[in-house]
Amino acid sequence: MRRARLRHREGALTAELARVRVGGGIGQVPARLAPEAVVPLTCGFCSTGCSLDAHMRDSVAVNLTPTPSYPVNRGHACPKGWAALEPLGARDRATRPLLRNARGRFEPIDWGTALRVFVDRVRAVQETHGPEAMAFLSTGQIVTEEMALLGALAKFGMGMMHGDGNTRQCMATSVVAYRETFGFDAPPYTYADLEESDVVVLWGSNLAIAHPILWGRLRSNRHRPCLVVVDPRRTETAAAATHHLALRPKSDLVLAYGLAHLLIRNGHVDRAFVARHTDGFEAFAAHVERFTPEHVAAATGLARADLERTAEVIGRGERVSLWWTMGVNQSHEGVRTAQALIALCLLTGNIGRPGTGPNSVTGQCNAMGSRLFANTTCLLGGHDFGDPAHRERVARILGIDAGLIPHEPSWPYDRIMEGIARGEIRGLWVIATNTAHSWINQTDCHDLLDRLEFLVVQDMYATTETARRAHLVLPAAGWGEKDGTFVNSERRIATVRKVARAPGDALADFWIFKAIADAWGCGPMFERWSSPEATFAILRELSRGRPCDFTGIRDYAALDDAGGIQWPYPEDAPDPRPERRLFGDGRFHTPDGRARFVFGEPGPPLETPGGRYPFVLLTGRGNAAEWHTGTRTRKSGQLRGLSADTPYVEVNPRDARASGIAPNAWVRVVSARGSMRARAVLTNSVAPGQVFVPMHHAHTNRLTFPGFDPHSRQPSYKYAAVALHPEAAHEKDRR
Amino acid sequence: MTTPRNGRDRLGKHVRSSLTGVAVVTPVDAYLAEQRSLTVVDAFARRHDEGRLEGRGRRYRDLVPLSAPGPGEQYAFEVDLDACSGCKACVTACHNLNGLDPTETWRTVGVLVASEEPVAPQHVTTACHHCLDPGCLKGCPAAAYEKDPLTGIVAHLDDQCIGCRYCELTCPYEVPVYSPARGIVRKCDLCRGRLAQGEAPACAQACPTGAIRVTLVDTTGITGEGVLVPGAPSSATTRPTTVYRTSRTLPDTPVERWPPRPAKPHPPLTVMLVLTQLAIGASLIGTAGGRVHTGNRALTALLVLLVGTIALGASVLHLGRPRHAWRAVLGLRTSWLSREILALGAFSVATAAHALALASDLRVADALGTAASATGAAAITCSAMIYAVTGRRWWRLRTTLARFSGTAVVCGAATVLAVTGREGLGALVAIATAIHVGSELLVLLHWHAGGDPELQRTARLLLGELRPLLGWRVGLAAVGALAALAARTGTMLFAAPAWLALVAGEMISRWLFFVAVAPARMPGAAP
Repeated sequence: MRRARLRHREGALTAELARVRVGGGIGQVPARLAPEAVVPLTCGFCSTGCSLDAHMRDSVAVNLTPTPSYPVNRGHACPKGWAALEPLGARDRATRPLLRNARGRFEPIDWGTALRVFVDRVRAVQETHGPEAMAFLSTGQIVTEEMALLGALAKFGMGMMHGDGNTRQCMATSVVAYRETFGFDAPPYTYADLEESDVVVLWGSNLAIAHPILWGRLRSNRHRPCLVVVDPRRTETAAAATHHLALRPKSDLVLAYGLAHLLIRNGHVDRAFVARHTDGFEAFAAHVERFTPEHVAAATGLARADLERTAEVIGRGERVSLWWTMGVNQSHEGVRTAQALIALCLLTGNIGRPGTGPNSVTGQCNAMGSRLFANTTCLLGGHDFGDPAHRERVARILGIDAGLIPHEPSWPYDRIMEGIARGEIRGLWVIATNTAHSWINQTDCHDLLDRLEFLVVQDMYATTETARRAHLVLPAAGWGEKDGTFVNSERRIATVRKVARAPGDALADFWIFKAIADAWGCGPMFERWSSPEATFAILRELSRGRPCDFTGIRDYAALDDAGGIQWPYPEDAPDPRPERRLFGDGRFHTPDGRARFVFGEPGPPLETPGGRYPFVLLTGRGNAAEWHTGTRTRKSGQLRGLSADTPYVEVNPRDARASGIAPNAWVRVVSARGSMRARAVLTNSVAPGQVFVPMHHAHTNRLTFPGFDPHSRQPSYKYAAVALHPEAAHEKDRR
Repeated sequence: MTTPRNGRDRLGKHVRSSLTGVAVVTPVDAYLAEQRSLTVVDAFARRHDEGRLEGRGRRYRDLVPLSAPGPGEQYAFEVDLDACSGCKACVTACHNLNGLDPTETWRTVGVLVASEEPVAPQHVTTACHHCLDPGCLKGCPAAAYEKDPLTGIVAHLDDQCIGCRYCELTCPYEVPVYSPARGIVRKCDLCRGRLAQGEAPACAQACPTGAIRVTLVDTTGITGEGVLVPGAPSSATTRPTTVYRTSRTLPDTPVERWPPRPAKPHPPLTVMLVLTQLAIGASLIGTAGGRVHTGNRALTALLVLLVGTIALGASVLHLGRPRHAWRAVLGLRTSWLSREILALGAFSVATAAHALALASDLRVADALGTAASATGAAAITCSAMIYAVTGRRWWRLRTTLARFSGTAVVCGAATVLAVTGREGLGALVAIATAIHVGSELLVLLHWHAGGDPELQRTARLLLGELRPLLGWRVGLAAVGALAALAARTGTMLFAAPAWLALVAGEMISRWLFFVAVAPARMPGAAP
């Protein structure tokens, strides 16, 4: 006890970690950060759409925990969500507009000057080269209200023809696949389906790492589902599978047709459903006739027995759901592959019931919002630029002249880049995306960006690879610093809130667009777009009568009270259930109400490994703490600490031995287009002949091959031919 | 609540929100004002006392034991590796719910991969293992750790810590994290405050797949056999309690998130160790020869005292909270660091007394000299034990004691040679240096695979990234030894350069002692 008196159990240092219990299902929190109030907002990273509770003190968020009772995440978040406030406070936030001066340096300017420069130079480009010479590249990371305002301003106000988003890089394939089969881009599921299935097929999806919260929901499925994972890599997800089909990269379409062949041969077709609700089955059946197990086994590298077993599992399943992500979408034949997965569900009748569905898990927090309201590929509200009635209707709702609405959709991303190469595009406005890092075939991309007469980058940071090449940088407020709504993968519309102070003169994208409209002289056109919530009312009206009708949502408060609301939610028949799926009545959005079987001929990937480049390069997410180009996640000390601090390449130990590569040795990964340095991580999770590099590294896209799906124009990031060169001793020293 | 509405903005211009309908300077000013207004709490916040508790209440109960630990039991983390997908939410949840610093983490997630077998990667989440025989607690000289007798939780007393960072070495799992701003370490306390209220620890409640829970373990069953997961430090050192469950064959190779790199250097410890060993060696050798002139011996003793004081000063300065340095003797019962400090203190007192006695030509001088030597030898042993108990292979007692004693002999003899020019010492210096450096280099024999992996990594570091330093170390020793031999012939000109070269060589050697250690680690340990 004498020792006890010499021990200091209390004091200033101990108090720093003191905790107090607060209500709201939050439990104990650090006493110095105890919230005075809690504000829920939807996470701004991926499309899962988790709700996070911002802990407010003096009207500013000081801490954050996942919302306990929210129907999506139920009190959980991945590390990006937990750390979401941290990137807002980064030292390199853009706080004032920056203009590149004559010496090539950025100079801070005020907003008035910035807007003048913007308008003058955009006008100069348009007057010299035509209005279509100015284009924009947007994002799935801003709120729907901002996307819509941008799309309307650029096209109706400023006369631009072409704009696309980084969503082209992640979900364009699913959009086209759904539209052609269902008649509308309508992912049919709700997350509860993960918990209701007795067979879950994850196709080209490392759900455990890319969507940890959905993985958590799948793991809480009480039906002990069979888990089939289709992935060339032995991922964390594959490790938990009951059946892992490690197919040859990009042989997915053949495999899907092979499974269809077996399902039909073994009598697992739901004849009644197919007859009543689909169109084109006979042609599809004839098409897959020749995809015999022998043929498919040879093409995919899988054992015949595995094919038979998988078909049996799917065929016998009561509630089978198929989920896919970028392994399908980022492919030279992604659309047809996604449509083959949809066909598997249609022919077995696995749609419209709990635990079923061909389900695309989207990428970004508001990719689904951009699918409806970006005003690029489709006219606002999922309308068609080519349909005069649609143009008329949109013009009436917006109170503008229908003649201002283009008759054609925008060029896709790759065509805009090609337009720069051809001199058709001379100016580019990039909003909340990092083209110079993320676009495929990076060396070429940098060359194109540097050719632009005017490159404006609107971002939270002036330090992104793209912003560093800009002529003008507009400082944007980020997630958490503005209001608006996101739409998540399961069509849930939910709010984000301004819980933090934006630094300096940074403005929400919404206000930047408004200011540009004023400066351009088309401010009156957007008078009714006076705030995000007023804009939401306009969008609601645009959705009326469309498959995505959400006219039943009164306002933001209604969304908050309900814990987000899935579309459709029409005014006349709102369905208050917190989790809803589509097509329970078997009525699809095609003119005849039937879903289509759409199919095509599989072909080889666009680049073939061999000769000087013997390995297949696979890319994908490195870990759950990293997000895309790292613009935000690298600003968080926590998240940085959870990620590799040097670029790495995963190599099969057998290949490493043959190439003389030691564990952790520096190697050069070389493609016909460029090279990058990386540490070799030897692991059996990649098959011999394949290597894996995470997409987050700044140089990964020097290697990727610029191939595209012909229907969706989505880049095929996950297949390129590369070589591995062990680094010579003198190169090591240069490090 | 304050809002900038109707107020003056940062630039001092009068601005009005567009919503107030009052005239504004330009539209942009209105947008800036709107941007800067923060009204969300008023408009939308739900008060936190609204009842929303049921959502997570169930989870809490599922993840913690229903009863408190009984006799022979304690709380422990239980990790279901089959369920751990590597999402790392546990790390960030711990951070937010415990209010840690921006880069501070009390939990990490690493990954094991299979080098040969076709086995999927396995993520491993790891935090404090609340050991039965906690290395942190035993090593702490300031009694800043306690193991709760009821719960078994190993807790750190932040206000007791003096910031010596010794626990960073004695914990094989690298759990305590040093905060330079505060000058203390901090660590996981198994959220004991939460457990007391029936709430699960932050990491457990945050895991989307329920892979982490708190369980009761029978302490007699924890014998310290084997390792927690492949590649981890031997459990024998501290007997960790975390239970890792798996139904799979675990992959065998921890992925080094960072390529093998030299460990952290410890400059103050480097200086402290070499100088104390120099002082002790000089004291030993200086007092051993009876034939030497008393004045020289007194000079030697004074010098020893001076060097010893500098060394102790260096060791106090390296503390995070030097003004609490006195607490460093509180851990005497278990901490070799406390014992070292005490032994060094005794050595200083004895040396001072010895110098005084010599100067005053007192009869007790020889006895005091012997006392100084004895306490010095004890201090060197304590120093060696500090590192030996960490369980690191390169720091095991035999080699560390030989290394520290070698430094004492080489530097001590060189010092006495420089001060007294005593006959025969030059040869002693040269021979001792040869043996000392030679035995140090033996570790390089582990270069080839197949032997001890820790020593192999050390050898590879020494021959790889650290090769220039190793070159200097050997070169300086050789120069010093040759100069010492030259000094023997009577040209005292060489004694001072010999001393400089040898002491510099020993400094580099001690630097390498810290940076070339390559212990077994949990997967995912920070660099």
